[in-house]
Amino acid sequence: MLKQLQSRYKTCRWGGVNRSPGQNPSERAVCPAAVVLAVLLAGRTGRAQDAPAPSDAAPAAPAPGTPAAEVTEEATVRSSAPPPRSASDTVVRLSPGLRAVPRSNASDVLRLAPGILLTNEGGEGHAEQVYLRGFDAHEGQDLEFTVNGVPMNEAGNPHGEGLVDTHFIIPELVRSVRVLEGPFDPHQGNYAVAGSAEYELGLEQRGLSMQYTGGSFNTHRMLALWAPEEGRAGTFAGADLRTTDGFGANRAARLGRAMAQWEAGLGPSTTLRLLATTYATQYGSAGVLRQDDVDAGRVDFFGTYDATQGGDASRHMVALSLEDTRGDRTARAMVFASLRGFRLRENYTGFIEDPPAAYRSGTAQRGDAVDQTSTATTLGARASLRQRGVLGGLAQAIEAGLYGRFDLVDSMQQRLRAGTLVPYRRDFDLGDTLVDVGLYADVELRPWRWMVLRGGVRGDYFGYDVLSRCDVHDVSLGAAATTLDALCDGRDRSGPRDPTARRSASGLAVQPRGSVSVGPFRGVTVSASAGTGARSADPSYIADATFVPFVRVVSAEGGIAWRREFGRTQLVLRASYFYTSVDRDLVFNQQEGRNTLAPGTVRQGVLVAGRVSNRWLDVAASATFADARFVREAADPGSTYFPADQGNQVPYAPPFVARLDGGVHGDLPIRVRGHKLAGRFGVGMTFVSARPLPYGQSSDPFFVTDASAAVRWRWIEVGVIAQNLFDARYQLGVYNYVSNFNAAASPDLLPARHFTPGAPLGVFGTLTVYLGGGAGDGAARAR
Amino acid sequence: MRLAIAAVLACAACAFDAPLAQVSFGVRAGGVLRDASMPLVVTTAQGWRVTLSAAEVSVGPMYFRNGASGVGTDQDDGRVVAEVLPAFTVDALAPSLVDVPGGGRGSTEAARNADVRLVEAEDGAVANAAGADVAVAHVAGTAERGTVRVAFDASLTLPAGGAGSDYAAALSRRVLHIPVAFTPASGGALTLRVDPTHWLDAVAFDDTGEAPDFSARAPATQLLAGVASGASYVFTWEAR
Repeated sequence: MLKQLQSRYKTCRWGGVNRSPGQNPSERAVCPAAVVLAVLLAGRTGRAQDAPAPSDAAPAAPAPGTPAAEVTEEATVRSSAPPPRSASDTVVRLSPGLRAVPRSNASDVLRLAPGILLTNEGGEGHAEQVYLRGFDAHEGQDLEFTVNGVPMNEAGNPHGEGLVDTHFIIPELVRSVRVLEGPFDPHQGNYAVAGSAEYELGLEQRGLSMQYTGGSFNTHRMLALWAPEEGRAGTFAGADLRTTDGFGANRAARLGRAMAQWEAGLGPSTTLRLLATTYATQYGSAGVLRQDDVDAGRVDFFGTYDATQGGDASRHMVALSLEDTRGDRTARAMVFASLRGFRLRENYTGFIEDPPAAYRSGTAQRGDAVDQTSTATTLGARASLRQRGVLGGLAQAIEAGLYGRFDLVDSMQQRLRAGTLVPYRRDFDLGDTLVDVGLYADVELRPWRWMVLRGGVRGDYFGYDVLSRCDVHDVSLGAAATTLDALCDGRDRSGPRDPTARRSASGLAVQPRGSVSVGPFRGVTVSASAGTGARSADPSYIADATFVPFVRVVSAEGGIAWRREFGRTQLVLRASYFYTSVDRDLVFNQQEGRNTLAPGTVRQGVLVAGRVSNRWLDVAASATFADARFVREAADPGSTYFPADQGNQVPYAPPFVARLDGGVHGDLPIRVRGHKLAGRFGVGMTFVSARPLPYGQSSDPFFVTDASAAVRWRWIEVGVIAQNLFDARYQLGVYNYVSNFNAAASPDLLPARHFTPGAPLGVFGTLTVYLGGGAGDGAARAR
Repeated sequence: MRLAIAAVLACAACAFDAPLAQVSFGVRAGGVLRDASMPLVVTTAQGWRVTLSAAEVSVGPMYFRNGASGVGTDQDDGRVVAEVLPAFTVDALAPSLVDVPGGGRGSTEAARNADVRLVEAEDGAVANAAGADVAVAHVAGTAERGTVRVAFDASLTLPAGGAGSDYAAALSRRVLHIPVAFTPASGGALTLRVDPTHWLDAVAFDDTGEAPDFSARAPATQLLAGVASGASYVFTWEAR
């Protein structure tokens, strides 16, 4: 049987090779199915290079230390590198030019992908909010984040399901990032609603380097990086400490973090990697300000209403991975574990959410500050087997993989008395046991040399076991419905009861995904992609038992890319149209201080991007237009917490975002004591259009420029970084809702503009010492 | 290139919903329309013929919501689309309108019901009668039934009768579900007329001719029922 299949497979003459004279059309129809099976069996019939996905300008870096795929005599294969999954599939290896662009944290690297805006309303240690292609992905709820394959999204986080805090990553250790906007790859798992971001860690500067950074806002940072000069590329270590007073009131922050990876060969074909990270931070948060208060001079533009806002975060993680490549078969396996601590205190509304109530004395509101805490333990594993083969002289591949993740989460949200850390109410107190088991199959077929079909199907099982430890609020007693100011009480209107309650739920999401790429013809490649994705539900809503526990998204994209080389300069231009439908969305709710349910949404738009690079220059630019609207009739009225009169546009996500990253580097025509000076210069510019806000309002656009420059002589480098070079005063996060930050006054109940300010001009100097690792005559060489 | 820029700007512009304008408007307040040269004489539901010599109430803030006026809490009345935050005192017997300093503001959305808060007066007629920050309303006059004549001069303090909880006080100062129909617009004016005709409908005057003690629970609650009746507050809108 197997031989028959292989025989059938061999008669399928693809890729510019003529069809067998005796082959009839029906036989051709059978061929694609035969190919899938035959590729599995074809390990010894041909070998093909399994190159990583290419970037828009630079090929993606293989994982550190990845053995080069074997290329044998039989691999006379064209177009063996798999094409991107979509026109907006962006893999960016941080070249020396792009490294010259100032980036304050690992999330900043995401800006290299088209259409991404990052904001932060919660302070230096608070996870960045991500907006892309009409999505307000909040702190990651709609983007699947991984670092070296380890998932970063936090299941059951009380601030938002799927929150991602990338601050545990030392930005200098980010070697590349791949952003796939849309669920088009079966590898993408939970949270890949708007897409996914894959961080790859590495350190190309070998030897030891130590850096001090100091400057505005009493900021100080010490950084040490090390990688063995002669060892494997995948071995590195880094650590840093940072302290700052911040650029305004209550923005001080401190952090410490360390990351290390050890790579070793286990025989000629197997590589082992052990990654360990640790991170902790504490930070203050200024929170939001009302525009009218700032205009009236009641509070400073960089001021705060409540100096008790802030947070703590920690993350400790280990991951062990094995990769074995034998012939045309590559097996990968990984296990990971992490401990996460989280606390966040914020007050968005002042004195609105605690009105006088029958069950307590006093009419004064106690304040709306929320104190969200959680501790999470995550265990997980993933594994895959990829088989490559040659069919019709063209590389084909098939892969199967599995993924499993188990989370134990304790989460709680309390309300605090204004200006204190004294809790007066517990909104929820949950103990979650969450499970995600995924299974996927992915094929890569080339029927002709100018066409590649990629895709497959992924299934995810989501399991929930949620223990609500405080399930009784505002106890109502007797026929008169007298209520007591009692939490977690052991009685309710029907009599004594246990104050806890347990709910369990499950869901299964089947997600087909695929793409077709045609070309290149004179450098032009046309592609189309479609797929579905899913996001697990917030465990706090599982307690409501109102819906199956996942959100489904359907997405499609069509695009065109043009790649051309002019000597040593490479130019890439891309454009695409995208469409996404989400059946049940989440929108940030200031009253709750977290994301809450909203109706379904539809997003569509276009993006254009370009990149030009050569040995000394690297410039990437993009512009994205997105229109995102609610589809209210698709919503279950009972589950819609988003008032129908707040507008038809999905709030907060910018319709238009433009970004430019550019850097130059190389030797300078200056010698000091016989050694050349080397320099680098980088600039990053962001334009964000007005953003829609609830109740028909919109924000103001802004434009911000960052720049940096450095000069290196032998083993020492001095540099300067300017954040917000032109000192633009702008509103980074903008909201429109009801608040009252003056408890004594007649409350203003009209929705009002609130904002968090963008950072003002900050100037920082750097001093770096390189020991070993090619220190000598230039940063270019060093990198 | 210019064409491309224009296209982008046009797309960005058409991407937005029609914005709601934030507007300020004037507010005027006065008593019920009547011949001010004549005393206001009303007959209560209990058959007392009352001649009012004073009827003042202190209100503020006032909120206007976009939901249909109904029952239940203010949350059931929708979202606030206009508001008048300053507190002021209205002489319900004076039909001439007085401008309310500070006016009101809102967005260009239809308001369908009002939420008026009774507030202790800092100054004005109510404060003059009862002291500053003591009472929310003042009413005086005579009530006659048959041969019985009762002279009264009452100041309404909350909670009615001095008893009850702070929460009860907070609830009792709210006059909810008052029907309105206007869309705030810049330059327009909102007029409030306070009609005291039914303020004393529930008050049980004593046939002995002794004036009720409005600091006691029952009379105070009866007076509050009239003062806090939505029918006592009539809003009209005048466009510019």
